[in-house]
Amino acid sequence: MAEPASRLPSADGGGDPARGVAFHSIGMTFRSERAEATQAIADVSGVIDEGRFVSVIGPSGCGKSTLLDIVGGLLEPTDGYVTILGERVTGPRRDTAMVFQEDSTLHWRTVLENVVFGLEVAKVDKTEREARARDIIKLVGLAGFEGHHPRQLSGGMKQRVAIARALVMDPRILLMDEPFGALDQQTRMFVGAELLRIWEKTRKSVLFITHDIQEAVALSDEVWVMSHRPAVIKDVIPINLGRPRSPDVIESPEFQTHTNRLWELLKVEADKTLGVGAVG
Amino acid sequence: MSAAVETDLLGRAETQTPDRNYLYTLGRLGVIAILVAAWTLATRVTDLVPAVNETVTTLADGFVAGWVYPHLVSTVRAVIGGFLVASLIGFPAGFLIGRSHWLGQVFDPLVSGAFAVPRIIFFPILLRIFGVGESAEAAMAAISALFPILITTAAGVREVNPTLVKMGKSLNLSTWQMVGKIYVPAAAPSLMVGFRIGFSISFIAVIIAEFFAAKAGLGLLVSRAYGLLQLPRMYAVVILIVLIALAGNLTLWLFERRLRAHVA
Amino acid sequence: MSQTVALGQVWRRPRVVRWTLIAILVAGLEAVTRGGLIGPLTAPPPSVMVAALARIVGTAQFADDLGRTAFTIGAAFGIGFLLGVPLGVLFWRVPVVARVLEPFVVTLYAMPTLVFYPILLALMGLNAGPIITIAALMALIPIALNTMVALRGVNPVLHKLAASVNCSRPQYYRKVLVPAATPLAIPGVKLGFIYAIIGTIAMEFILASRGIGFRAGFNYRDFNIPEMYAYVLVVVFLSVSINYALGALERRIRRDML
Repeated sequence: MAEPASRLPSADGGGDPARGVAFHSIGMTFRSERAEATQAIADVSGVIDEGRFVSVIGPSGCGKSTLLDIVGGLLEPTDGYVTILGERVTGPRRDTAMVFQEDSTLHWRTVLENVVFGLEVAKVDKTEREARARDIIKLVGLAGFEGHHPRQLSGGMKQRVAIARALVMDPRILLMDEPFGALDQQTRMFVGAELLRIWEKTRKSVLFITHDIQEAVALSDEVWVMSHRPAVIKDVIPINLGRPRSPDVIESPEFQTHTNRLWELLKVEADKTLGVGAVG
Repeated sequence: MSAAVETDLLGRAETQTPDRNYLYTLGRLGVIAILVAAWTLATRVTDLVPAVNETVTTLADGFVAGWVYPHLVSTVRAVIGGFLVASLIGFPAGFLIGRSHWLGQVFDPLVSGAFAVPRIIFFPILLRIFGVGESAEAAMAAISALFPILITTAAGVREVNPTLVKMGKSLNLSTWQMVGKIYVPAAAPSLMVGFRIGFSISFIAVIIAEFFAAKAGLGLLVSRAYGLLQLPRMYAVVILIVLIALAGNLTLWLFERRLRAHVA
Repeated sequence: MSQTVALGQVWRRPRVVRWTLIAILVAGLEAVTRGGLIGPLTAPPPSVMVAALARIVGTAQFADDLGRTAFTIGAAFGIGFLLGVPLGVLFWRVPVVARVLEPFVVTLYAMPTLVFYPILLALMGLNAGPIITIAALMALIPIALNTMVALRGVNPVLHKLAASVNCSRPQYYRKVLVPAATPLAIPGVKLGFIYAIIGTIAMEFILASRGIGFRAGFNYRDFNIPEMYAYVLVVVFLSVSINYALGALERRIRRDML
């Protein structure tokens, strides 16, 4: 079995920066009050083509979330910049929508009111936003729950609300920060399968952060392996498992090859991290 | 908030940087300066506010000439007495209520209801029972401090990690050992808070009681001076009361902090 | 928990136990006072207390006192709330202010604010002002502190969410922060109300010439012991009911918004 070829990403090779989301030598250094600078990200470059599902995996605390925050416009990188369709990202914009790991539902609002939140803030007309929301709610499999409150929902359902809220904005790229990290194993698999189905229907660009290798391989077209801090993209592994993909792709031997490969890559980085000491 | 993080009096996590502390102290001195300035201004505006220096000298005189002492002692005695009674009942009762789910269900509404009642209203009853004097004041302090101590103790006991309790039982600890080796150390921060609040409330209760009817005490000094229009003396004792409240609270809080650092 | 018959189960229900305890206490008191163990000048039998209460409740003086006390409590809480919430927001937004004012706030919380009465009297004159001010001060502190804590307690992910959908400042406050913080701040508001009650009654008791609190002290001084107890009962009943109502409101808000 030939191993999938890997390549190091760059802003000019292997993708069209004008069409997708491009990282141009992103660097991020945090300065705290005690004037100790931590360089979270050293130099990250890459392109996420339109309609590609890209996962980022890496050891804990290596800066994956930081990268996401930068793309989402929540953080300004100390070096480099991100472009979306050639336009520089300077703050949160309609192109990007985020899904967080922790439960981010507004507990005093119903499911419908939660899903329209972004549209409401953008002052979209009420009838329109509710119509769009209902469509998306159906898409994520929560039809019938529009009037429910988050406390009546399970963890997996709440994350689907978060996904719906992001999708209804019709973003160019969906940014997902370990969205299933807080869920138990079974729920994770179920919602993961749901995400596959939803993605097939919408075909958005996705930047997906996870520490779960199987999840990354099952969902993505491409997996970026991040090094430990200060982070760079160590490797890009294309996932050639075909589309549309069904959840039982997990059982295929090709799947195994990919996960083994990634496991090896990650192990090296994780060992380095542990050797350096507790990651702060 | 993790137990390992030091908290200030308002419960905020502390991030110590030396420069900041000077800023805070400076700010506080500034506030005091403003208060003194406002006071001086008030002196000009009305006859009913005595001059600052007169008040300060009167206060000093109280200690030098000694007219403060008997009253100070009386107040302190009542506070300590009341607080002890409240503790002797409150801590064990709080412990029992916190430990037993059923007892909690029975007594919680009673306790929170009792907390909402202004305890001063019972003072005449205490006066009828004890007569005017320190005992009535101490009793007043006791019933005032009892409920906060009880509530915080119960809450603290409830928050003790049930795994620790399980471990204790598996080691076959006697009840006293459980209390001493598991519950008290684990609930120590909450207990300290209860201790501090209980003391403050005892102090407040005694002063208020003395205001109404007493033979001696700082509260009596204030109300007497007020009645006789001895304004410098009245203000002087008020300041003394404020200082005692501040000093007492700070000391207990420092102690609480040390305990927290120890336990965390 | 022993496996008991249905009757035994009833006796273990908390509400039943509670009311039984209260009933036993009252009955015991009735017996002890009628039997002469406690003299009438110390405490009359509960039945006599209730009779005195019944006599009082219909009178115009009672209505006047009640109205006066209610007004004072309302005003004290209103001021405490209207000043306390913004102060709490200030403490949250500008932590330096919170740190600097910390010792002063704690001292105020730990001392009998009653002693400021003569000072306020000098500044405000002989009216309801000083009493309302002191009771308002007592209510203000827990409201301010709790507002600050509630704002800090809002899950930071909600802030991130609002930023990611490009909320403007006013939108953030209105749509996210206030609804998220309100259920957390409610206990402080409830405590503030309780302190407004406690402060008002205490002040009336010692310093006023009208009001429910005053009337209890007045009857003590005049040796009208049953009437004194009647007013004690009024205060107890009022504060317990208000506390219960506030608690129900708190539970409702927490249920709907938390």
